[in-house]
Amino acid sequence: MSEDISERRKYKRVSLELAVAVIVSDAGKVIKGTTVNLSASGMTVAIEGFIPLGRNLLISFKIQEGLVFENITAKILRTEDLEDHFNYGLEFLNLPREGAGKINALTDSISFIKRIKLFSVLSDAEALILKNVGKENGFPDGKTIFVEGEDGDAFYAVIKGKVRISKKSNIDAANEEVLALVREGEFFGEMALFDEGLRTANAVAHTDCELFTITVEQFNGLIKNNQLLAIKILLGFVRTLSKRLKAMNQEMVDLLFSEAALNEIK
Amino acid sequence: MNERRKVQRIEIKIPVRVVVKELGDRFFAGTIVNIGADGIGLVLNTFLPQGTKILLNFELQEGKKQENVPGLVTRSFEVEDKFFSAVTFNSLSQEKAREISVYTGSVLFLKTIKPFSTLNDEESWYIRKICSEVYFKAGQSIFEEGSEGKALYIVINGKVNIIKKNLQGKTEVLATLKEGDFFGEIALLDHGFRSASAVASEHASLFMVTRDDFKKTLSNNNLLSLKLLWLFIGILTRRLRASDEVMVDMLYAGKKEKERNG
Repeated sequence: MSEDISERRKYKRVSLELAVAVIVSDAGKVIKGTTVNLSASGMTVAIEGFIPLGRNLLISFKIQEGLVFENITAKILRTEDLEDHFNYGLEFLNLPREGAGKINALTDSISFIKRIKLFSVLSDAEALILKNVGKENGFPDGKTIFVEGEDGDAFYAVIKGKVRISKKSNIDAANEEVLALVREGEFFGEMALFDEGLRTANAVAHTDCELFTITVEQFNGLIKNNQLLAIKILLGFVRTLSKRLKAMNQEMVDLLFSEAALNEIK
Repeated sequence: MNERRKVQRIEIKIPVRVVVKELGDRFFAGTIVNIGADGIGLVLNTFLPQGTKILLNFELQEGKKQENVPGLVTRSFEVEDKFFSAVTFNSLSQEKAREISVYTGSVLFLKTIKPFSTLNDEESWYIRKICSEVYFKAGQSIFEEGSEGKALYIVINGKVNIIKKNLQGKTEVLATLKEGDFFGEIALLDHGFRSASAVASEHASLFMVTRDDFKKTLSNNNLLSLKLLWLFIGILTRRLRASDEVMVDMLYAGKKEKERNG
């Protein structure tokens, strides 16, 4: 049994509450349950009634539009007696490989989204909503993502790789300064979401990159349709931006002081 | 209708108890839908004929009860399943009228402050309700660099200096703030330490909004939360943009300096 559990943990589990229809193999009656968590190899499901160990179950559930599973055979691995219901740890016995692949892709995306610091406070269910709002895009090393002066229409978070942010100097337009390297879990281009202005810097893939992109339109749709999620994200923006501003101000103060110090020595 | 009014009204919904003397002190529960120093708009389940004398009991702000404010119904009409009455304060004491007009004025004042600039009257009133007025004498410290930030301040009148000590320990004035300016706003949404000190440079009265009160207000109102977060992000991104510009020029100047010095 312990082998079974470690086997199951090879796959990422996400906490999603989905409605599940359960049929106990020799009873035939449909029992209603709710998932507690889900992976490509099994799920934990909360059910009011007691089902003895050793029975195989037929389970049906829908993760989202186009991702529906029907009559998957599952074995009860363990039972947990909670106050007003039981939690059953189930192992899928005959989940088609394609279906398992789709669940894996989904749990992977949720964990990628949550690895972005801005989104780390989201629940798995919220991360899934957000994942479906945006898009994952690959950019090869050296590819331009956006250019200073063009219309900003999207926000980017780095899932994999690094992005270089640079900007031309006001004093000498031929000179370009690297302002930042954006790493995994960080974001850039967010000003486009808030003030519809022109890009004030260049963004170029510094390595091969995997980016999560949300356009202005998608973001506005999210605010309209899911206020609580939008509030969480906006609060995340405020926190990160204020930290960034503080760091930037500190850096400028340091630069000023180092110059002042240099002048003193001279 | 606004054109005709000499006194500005604000549109906020306040529960009100209306006492009608002519009906043997019978009272009705209703809602004030707008208020100014000259009168109110009132919504009731009951029709009050023109000329009815009433007494109004309501609370503009917790702890600031308005009791038995005399009013005169100037006209009434049916709105959907209720009745609207225009009521004038015809015999209000100067002191009371002033109190109301200062209060409604302060709700409108808040809307002129950047972090609250897209709020409607009602939302601005929610913020006004959590503003406390605080006073500082010239030279008095409002907060110290490095202390935990717990509140936003808005300058009602007077002047405030934002100062920072440099490496030599000399204080430098980063900015002087006057009526309508705000400072310390990040404390409303994030825990953190003050990155500069604030000192009243002359006698100053300020509105103070604490993070705890602000959070309570936001937790009851998603739309208001979204509006405010949006405004705060706008303030932050504008500042970041400005800092970016300066930063690039400083980096560039530093490089040139090094080149010159070989």
